[in-house]
Amino acid sequence: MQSFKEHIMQDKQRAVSFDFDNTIFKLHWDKENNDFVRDERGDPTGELNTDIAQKIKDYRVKGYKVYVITTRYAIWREETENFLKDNNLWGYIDDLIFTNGAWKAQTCKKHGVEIHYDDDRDELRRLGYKGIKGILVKNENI
Amino acid sequence: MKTFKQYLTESFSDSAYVFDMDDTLVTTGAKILVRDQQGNIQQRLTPAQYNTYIKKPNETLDVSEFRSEDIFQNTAKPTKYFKIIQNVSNAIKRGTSDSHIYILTARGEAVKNVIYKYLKDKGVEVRPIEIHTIGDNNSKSIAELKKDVLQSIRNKHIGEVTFFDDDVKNIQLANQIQGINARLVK
Repeated sequence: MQSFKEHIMQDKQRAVSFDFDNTIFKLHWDKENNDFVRDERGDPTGELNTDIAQKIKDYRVKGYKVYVITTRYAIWREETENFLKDNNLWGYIDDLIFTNGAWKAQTCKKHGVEIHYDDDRDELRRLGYKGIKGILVKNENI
Repeated sequence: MKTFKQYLTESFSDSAYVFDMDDTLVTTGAKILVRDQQGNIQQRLTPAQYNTYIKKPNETLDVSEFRSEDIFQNTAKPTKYFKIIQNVSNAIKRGTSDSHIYILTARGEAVKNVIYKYLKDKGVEVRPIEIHTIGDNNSKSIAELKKDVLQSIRNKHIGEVTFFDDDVKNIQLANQIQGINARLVK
């Protein structure tokens, strides 16, 4: 017979997280100017990474909790949220979390994340120290 | 035959890249502490929040955390713009660029060596003399001090000088210098 603790652990929903910049939001690179391509307001431009978008949907269908965890400051919440809404991802995401410049390992741990997708190798290395599986996302634009 | 001026122009047609540190190349756990008259901490501001913060008359802004080597070493995290300095540095190493890299930060002299080591660990070679720390100079505003340093860098290079910073005020003043291409980091 299962102990109460085992029962609780089995029922615990699994969680996955995704970085935003250069993972969900694939930035465009301007080789000539050695900078990100920028719009008329000076904001870096980019596009949805459709492979990652599909993964977000797939994990949700499998019953995972899905988090977007970004190093961005929370002052970018509206812009980040709008991108996710405009690309029909908002309904698949449980929470959008801003670390405000901090490394993500602690935040991932706190939310019970098992797998995290990111373009930053250092970030993935730090996740490894916490026992979280990191998957590298490459942006062929950069 | 080349004129002396042509010779000079070709020999020294080097460009320069100048990078602010906090919230441009890296984010760190260092915060600006807003203290009341009794010295109690009222708020902890990130550099981005500080850029638009309006100080009240009874408040003082404490930047001591930006002098801490420990906070820098333990919390510094490259931003997406770090890719730019890495690209420039790699091109210099390969010999495909004659650019120079400078750091121009509002931090003080105390962290110069930490910044140098941090960049070196990440494969970016910047000579300590080219890391400009203006935080110990209270004679002018940060933006004005940065403008002065940028002018001196501008004077050393014939090629384009590109400056990256997250503070609109710094970008606005930098744009007053002819030949500076100032880019706001967001």
